[in-house]
Amino acid sequence: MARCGGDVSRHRKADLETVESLCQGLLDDVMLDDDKCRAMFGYLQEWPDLASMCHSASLLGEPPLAPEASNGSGSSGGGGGFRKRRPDSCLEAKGKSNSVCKRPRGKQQPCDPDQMAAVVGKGKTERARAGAKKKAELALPKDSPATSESTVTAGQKTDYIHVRARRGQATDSHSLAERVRRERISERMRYLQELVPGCNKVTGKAGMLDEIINYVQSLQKQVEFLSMKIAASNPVVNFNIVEDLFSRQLSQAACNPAALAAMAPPIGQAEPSCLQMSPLQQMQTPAGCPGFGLEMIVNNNLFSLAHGGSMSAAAAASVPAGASVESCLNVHGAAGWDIGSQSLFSGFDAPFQSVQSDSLLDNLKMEM
Amino acid sequence: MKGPNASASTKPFKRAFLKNLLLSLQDCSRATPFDAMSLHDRKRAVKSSADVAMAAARGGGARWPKAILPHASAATTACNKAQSCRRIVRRCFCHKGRGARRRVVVAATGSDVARRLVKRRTTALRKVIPGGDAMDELSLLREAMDYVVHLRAQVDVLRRVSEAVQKRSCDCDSLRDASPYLVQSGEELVEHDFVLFFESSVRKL
Repeated sequence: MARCGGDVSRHRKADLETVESLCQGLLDDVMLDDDKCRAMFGYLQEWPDLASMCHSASLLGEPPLAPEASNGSGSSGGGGGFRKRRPDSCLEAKGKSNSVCKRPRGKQQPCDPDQMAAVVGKGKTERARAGAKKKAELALPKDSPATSESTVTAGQKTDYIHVRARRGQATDSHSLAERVRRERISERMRYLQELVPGCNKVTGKAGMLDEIINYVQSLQKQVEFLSMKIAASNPVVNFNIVEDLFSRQLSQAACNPAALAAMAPPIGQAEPSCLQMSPLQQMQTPAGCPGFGLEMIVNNNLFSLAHGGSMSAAAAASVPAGASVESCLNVHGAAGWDIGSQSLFSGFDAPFQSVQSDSLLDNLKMEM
Repeated sequence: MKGPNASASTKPFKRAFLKNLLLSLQDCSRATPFDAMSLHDRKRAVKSSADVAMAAARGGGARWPKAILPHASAATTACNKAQSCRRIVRRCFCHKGRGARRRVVVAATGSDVARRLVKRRTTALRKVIPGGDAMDELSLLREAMDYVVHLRAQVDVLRRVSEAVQKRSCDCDSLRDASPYLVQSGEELVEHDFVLFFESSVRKL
């Protein structure tokens, strides 16, 4: 498939504008990948995220690629493949032998025709029913002008899919629909290839499907194993406590200075969590100087608690244990959560106000 | 394509999943106390609550949660059922036609073999992905991607929970070994410890 370089460079600027429209059009296939998970998880933000990603990809300014280069990058990680795909698909729009234009989705068609054809070629009649919708859409825009690539708004199923048949390929509407379907499938297989570890070495649809199936089954077995592990130690854990902790709406008012004053004097290691939280609290308030001294004590407490050597001191402080447990939990919760927010897990996002708390957390993580 | 913030993007799901998991385990323990259940029952309870929690946390962006959660809304189940019926009928039709054709064709060409292999694996994938029977190949792949990502997040969260639980049980055991008098107050401390560890590990999510 010969392409003139001059032609390419001339049309490239115009094509870059259509890249965004192409990306916009791609959004009805919401591709899921780890780094695009943000798009999936924020349902309302789904489309703009992908659009911005496509935009940045197009702005990377990939030079027009020869088919050989695209051949090599075909099976590699989809990041490069995705980037390179966009301009190349625009470039391929130049090959025309049909008045029907379709949104070119993948450029890999010339690269692996045998692979796709061997796999999917003869299944046309069965899949034709599945692609019936596309055919109906194809039939109508046949009268549209040949050279224009119209923008298809994402998410609307009734819009036409405009595809341009490439040079030297069949212009039958059936084969066009089939090719579009094949391209979509291969695109999704590529994304899956990145998701599943170890899939890069395998080429071909059957092998990749095999890897995907094995991976999903292994993940499900892992879930079973972990749930068995949790169940094995379950009688010990009282989930009520955790649930109370999470469901309680705590305010900063609960952590009053009186509680702090009560906790501060005893160096007793009985309530390390309270002591831990009080410096955090104080750090969160504007005047946080007394917290520093406590932090050192807290670190020592954590050390000793982790080593289990402080149990003897625990007995002495067990007297106010009942009440202080509650206050400890209160203190802990209030410091740990975003004060103003009402939702359950918003506190996990709230960054602690000072550096000392970060070091404290690191300490905590180191202990445990 | 996997960026450095791959784990950050699954954080809200992990949090929602954890919350759902804890709440469902809470309900399970209230219905039948964990001490009364056998290990197998407990494991089944944990696993089913984990699956339900994952499906609930996923929300409505994919089709596999609806296959896991039986109590979807009436309207959606109606149109889903219609679509799935259509697809299943279509698939039966295809299978019938292909079977008849296979009897006629004697020589197995390379492409036929490849197609058969892919077809076999596609059906296997359908069995593995929840709700995969009622999807065409294109959406099956998309559901598989979605499912893999969320399954990985679920495994991660479950691993952290099991670590926290195991650490707590270890602490409890060491506490009992240390002194019987201290068990009562010590257990509260261990609870604190567990809660802290839990918190820290969840923050690491």
